Amino acid sequence: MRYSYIRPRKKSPLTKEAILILTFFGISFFLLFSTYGFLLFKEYRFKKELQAVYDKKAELKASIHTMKNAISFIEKESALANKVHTTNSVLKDSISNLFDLVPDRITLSKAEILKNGLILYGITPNKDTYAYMLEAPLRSIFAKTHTSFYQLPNGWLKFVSTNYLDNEFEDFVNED
Amino acid sequence: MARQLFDFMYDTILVNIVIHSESINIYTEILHKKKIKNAIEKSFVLNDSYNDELLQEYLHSFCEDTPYFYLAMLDASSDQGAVPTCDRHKMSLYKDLSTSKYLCIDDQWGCYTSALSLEEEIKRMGDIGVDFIFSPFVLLKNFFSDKVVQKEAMYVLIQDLSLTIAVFKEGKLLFGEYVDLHLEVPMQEDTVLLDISAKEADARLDDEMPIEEEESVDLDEIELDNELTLDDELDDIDSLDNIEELGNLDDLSESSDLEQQLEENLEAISTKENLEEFENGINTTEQSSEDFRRFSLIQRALDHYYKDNRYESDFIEEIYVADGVHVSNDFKRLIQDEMFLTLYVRNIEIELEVCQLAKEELKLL
Repeated sequence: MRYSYIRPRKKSPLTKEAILILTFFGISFFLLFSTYGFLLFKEYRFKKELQAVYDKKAELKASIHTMKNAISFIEKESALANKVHTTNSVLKDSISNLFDLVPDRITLSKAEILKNGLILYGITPNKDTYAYMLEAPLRSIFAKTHTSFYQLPNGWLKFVSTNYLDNEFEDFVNED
Repeated sequence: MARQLFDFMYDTILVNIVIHSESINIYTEILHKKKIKNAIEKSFVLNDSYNDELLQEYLHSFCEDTPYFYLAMLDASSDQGAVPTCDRHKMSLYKDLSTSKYLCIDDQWGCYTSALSLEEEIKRMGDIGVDFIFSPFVLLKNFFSDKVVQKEAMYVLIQDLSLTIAVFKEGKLLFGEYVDLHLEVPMQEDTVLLDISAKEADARLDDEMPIEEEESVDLDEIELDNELTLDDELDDIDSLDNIEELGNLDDLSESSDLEQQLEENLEAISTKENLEEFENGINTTEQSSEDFRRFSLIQRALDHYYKDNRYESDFIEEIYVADGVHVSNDFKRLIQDEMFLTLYVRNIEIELEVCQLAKEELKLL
């Protein structure tokens, strides 16, 4: 107040129209920010869920990898089991065949089945019996056959028959 | 931030009211961001059909448009004035301010007005209210802001209802007097002047010469010539040189002679044109009478200034007149010839000046 006797009255810009406009803008801004906040929250939630899905996916991938390894191991084990089973069957058959090969007059006291051979311990009444009845089938199977005889006091002979497969056969067996 | 937003949203409306003898003039300026968007002028004639409700109804239309609505008025209180000090105790040397409201201007001088009149002026506007009431002394100082800072001179604001007379020296007010023409008792000089002017009018009517409209004097023109140019016809009023002698006459018989003479002339005028010319002559006579009254009051104020020891007086050589009523050349010649002052007249639109003051108050300039 420099030149006037009275001070001007306070002017409030908040007229009815202004209040209406401010209310309108206020509500509009509130809705806008609410929507924005809601979208931000939803985005946050979505990202969080996405991260969980990624984590789950990674976990599943790891699990699948582990399971694949396990399957692979089991398959290998299965193959090995099959192989062992086959080998055992073959061995069983071989033993069965072997025992079938042994005539009644020869008595086996011990049999050692090697990887590539067979060692038989037993008693034979004589060498001929052995040679004709046991050695001949053995020779048809094994490449190398060597038999040692020991005289028993009763006149029978104790023998040790060492039989080996040939290398090609051995390789064939190893490959299988 | 909010203020700028609201400035952008709303216009500022400045309503400036000046009360004249026959009308109330309203100058309304609509501003948007300190730039004038629109300016409206309205005048209410103070006749029998006028009442303040009409004025209030008109102003209400602006109030509803914007909250930034300011109403400024020029103080028209008869009990107002100006004193050459800002000290309240020293003010009491010039005026008892117990019932007045005063305002200190530039920490150099003060202006005062009746507190009761202020309240009445505020009350008159009803619920619209008033924001600014300016003293005519402030308006005068603002109008002649380029001159008041210079050497000592007298400054007069002429309104149809009042005279605001001030003496400024280097921006400081030395003397201030407000004269309400309604309250001032017409002096005898008025009657004498009426006599002289009426005679002159009669003479003109006899010669069937049209009375020329009084031309307003351009201040710039005066300053270039450094003297007032006068019509040769006005030289006929040589009798005004003896105006003081005539003023001392107590005999009013000449006034009655004048009326007789006028009646005779009126009878002699038969045509309509002559009647109009006669009416013009009467108007001119009335104006001359008013102007002489103004001259007398200015002369009395100057005399008061010189003689009153309370005022720091110096010899006045120049008088600047803010002319709000278009004074006649008679007035100008009287000032120059009778008071021996160099006269500078500048026409004033008082409503616009009030608006300027309101803008200064609101820092809108």
